Amino acid sequence: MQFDSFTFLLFFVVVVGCYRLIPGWSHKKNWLLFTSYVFYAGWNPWFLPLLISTSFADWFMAQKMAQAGSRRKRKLWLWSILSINLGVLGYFKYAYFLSDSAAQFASALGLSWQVDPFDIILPIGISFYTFHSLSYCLDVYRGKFAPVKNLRDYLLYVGFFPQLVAGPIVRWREMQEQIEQPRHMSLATTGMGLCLVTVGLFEKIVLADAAFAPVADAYFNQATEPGTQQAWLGALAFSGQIFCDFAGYTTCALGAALVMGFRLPINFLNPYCALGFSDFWRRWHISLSTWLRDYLYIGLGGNRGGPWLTSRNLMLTMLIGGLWHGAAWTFVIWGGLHGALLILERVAKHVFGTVSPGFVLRCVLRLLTLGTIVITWVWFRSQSLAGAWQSTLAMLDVSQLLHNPVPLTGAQWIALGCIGALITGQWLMRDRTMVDVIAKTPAPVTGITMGLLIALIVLSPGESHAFIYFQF
Amino acid sequence: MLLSTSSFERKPNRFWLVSMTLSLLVALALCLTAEYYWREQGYTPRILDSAMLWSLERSKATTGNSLVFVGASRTQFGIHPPTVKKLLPHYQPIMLAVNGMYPLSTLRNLAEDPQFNGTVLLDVDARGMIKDFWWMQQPYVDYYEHQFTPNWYIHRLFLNVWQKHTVISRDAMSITETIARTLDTGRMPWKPNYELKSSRAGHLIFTEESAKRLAKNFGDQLEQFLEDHPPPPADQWLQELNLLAQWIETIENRGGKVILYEPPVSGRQKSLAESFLPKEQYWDQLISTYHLTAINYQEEPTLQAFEQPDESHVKGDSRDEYTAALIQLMIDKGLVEP
Repeated sequence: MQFDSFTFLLFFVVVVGCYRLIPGWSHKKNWLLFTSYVFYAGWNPWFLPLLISTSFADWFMAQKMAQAGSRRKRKLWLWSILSINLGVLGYFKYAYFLSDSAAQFASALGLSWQVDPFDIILPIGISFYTFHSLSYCLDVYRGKFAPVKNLRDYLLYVGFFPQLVAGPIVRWREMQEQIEQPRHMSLATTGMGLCLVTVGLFEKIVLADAAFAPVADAYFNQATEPGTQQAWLGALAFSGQIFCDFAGYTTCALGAALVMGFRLPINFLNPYCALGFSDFWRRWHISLSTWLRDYLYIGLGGNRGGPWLTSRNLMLTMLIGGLWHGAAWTFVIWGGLHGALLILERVAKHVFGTVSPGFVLRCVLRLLTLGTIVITWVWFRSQSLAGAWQSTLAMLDVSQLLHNPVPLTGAQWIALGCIGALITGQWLMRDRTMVDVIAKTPAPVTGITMGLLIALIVLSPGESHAFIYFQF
Repeated sequence: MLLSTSSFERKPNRFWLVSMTLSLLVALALCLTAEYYWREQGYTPRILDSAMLWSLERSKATTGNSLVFVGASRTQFGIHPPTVKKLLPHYQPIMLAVNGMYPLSTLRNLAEDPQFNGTVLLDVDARGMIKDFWWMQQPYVDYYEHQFTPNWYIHRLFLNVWQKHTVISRDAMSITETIARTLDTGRMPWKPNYELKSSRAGHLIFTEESAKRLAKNFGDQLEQFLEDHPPPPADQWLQELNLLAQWIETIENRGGKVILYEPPVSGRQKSLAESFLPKEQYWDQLISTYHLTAINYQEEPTLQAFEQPDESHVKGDSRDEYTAALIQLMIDKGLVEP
């Protein structure tokens, strides 16, 4: 089910209404679990058994792992959990990519091996709920907490509908108390939750789908060789689209959960005002970057083995992070570029020291960070390596921008205006969340602003686009 | 880092009541103003066709009593489903024709659906069966097969109601489209010359002037196209349609039925089709070679009696009679049971 659909509107009213009326915390949780599965089945009911069975298997095996007497047995259970989860993820998401890549490699060696395209449908949200479950099992293995006894509570932790299909990736520690102790709804949580849902829908429907998508799609779907101006416009529009699409989803998720009294982790903190690339990853898809840091980067040794090993670990983490996003070499290169940028930043900090830059230098560094991130998005969005390479070259050929300016279309002006406003807004908000801003705004201003956003949502019709991150 | 709630939970209830009330009032006022503005400009609410609406209809075509209308604009704006329902109460009429697109990919989709065993009225002329045009409706099929979900099924039901009653639900009236159009040309949105129901069937709105203009445009376009892209020789055309015959056979082996139908055209539409794809060399050969069931307007005086103001489509107010005549023909030929 998608947040920006009439179906969700109806669903949410029914869910929240009954949630309020149902007596007893245990019954409320049963209701939430049931409706979460209805939410998931709204996409494809045939994959619901997969979600339930993998969640059950993880819960069961985590129990067994905790009860195992020896370290060897615990390790065996852990490998079973990893094999099942990564096996399922690998089959649905990477089987064709791996076979096709192997075939291309064989062809380069002069061997003949053809792979027919697989007809595998990717279960929605599989990357997210797999990472949910894995974080729980890895933490049980590391002895951070005892496994949860109650199966229903565990299923609800994995399946809770606001964060089920596109995150944020929540840790058991963040949800344990919220699931075990009754939640309370109040006018404040309902009001703020609805404000967040409104802001999220505005980001998705008005900005991502109506303002940015037409310009980004027109650029990235064209067959002709790109010019510098068009390449920058397309990349900037996609930078706006990917942020508003994904942040829009998580803002809706945070809001929907808050209406029912649950607090999810924030996933974005104004990433386009980042000062450097490590700062960017502290602000972009925070729940994934902390997951990769805690379970992959630190697992590989983190920064404990000197500069070379640290660089290797950073690069591996970012390459796998890139591959997590999609089964294509463009995503791997996107991850690799970010890995390289993070390594470069570490080197720069080592060479120049951690001096605190002045205002002007901070602005220059922020712009440099933003410009580089916009260029890397080209690799995320392009449908082929050749297309991404051509776009990158076009973006770097700034002289063409000065000599061959092309008049902008109305849609391009809108996209440019919106990305400008978005970046300015993020620079002004910097470390404050949307909740902080709304909480400090007087009631009439909040009311009028939310009214304006709702009107803009209603006045932006068009058939909905799936959230980009659903495919991951 | 969990969402911090400490910053807003201390706010008094009055804050939230004022905010929520104001936001609803502001949103309502702005939307009503926009709705009023567009209605003042002469725009009226209308159902918008899309792959999602097509999929909603397609999802109903699963049972033996489905009477599926597959084709292009001549069927979408010619067939009147309430008349079908009245004459054939045991059948469920389903409109899968798509304006401007030849339909063979839809027929293949029905053939590949193991559930489908209904009756198909396939509106297609000889030109629409040239291989280059087979896959025009494939994006609709792909959407149905890969993106249409229970979520979108329910969403589209609500969207139909929303579009039926508001002008602001039209894409062309969206705030971004309006601003972009103002910056580009300053023109007002196009007023379509057709109306659709949520069943996807509709009718064309002709004035004497628009009908003449359309007839000329259609004729010129067809003539130019046929000169630029001459049809393949009849033998090759027929050979390639072996696949079509297989799809039909697949549906009929499941207990379904496929009726090929060439609807009435007149003027240059008729003469151009006849000169480039003569009936006896193309259509008649297809029917006899593959033993297909067919209705061709040239063999049916009752169908020829209907006027086509633009030489291609029946008038909106003739749809009822035209549909009744076609259904009666199907009954008389024993193709459907009343």
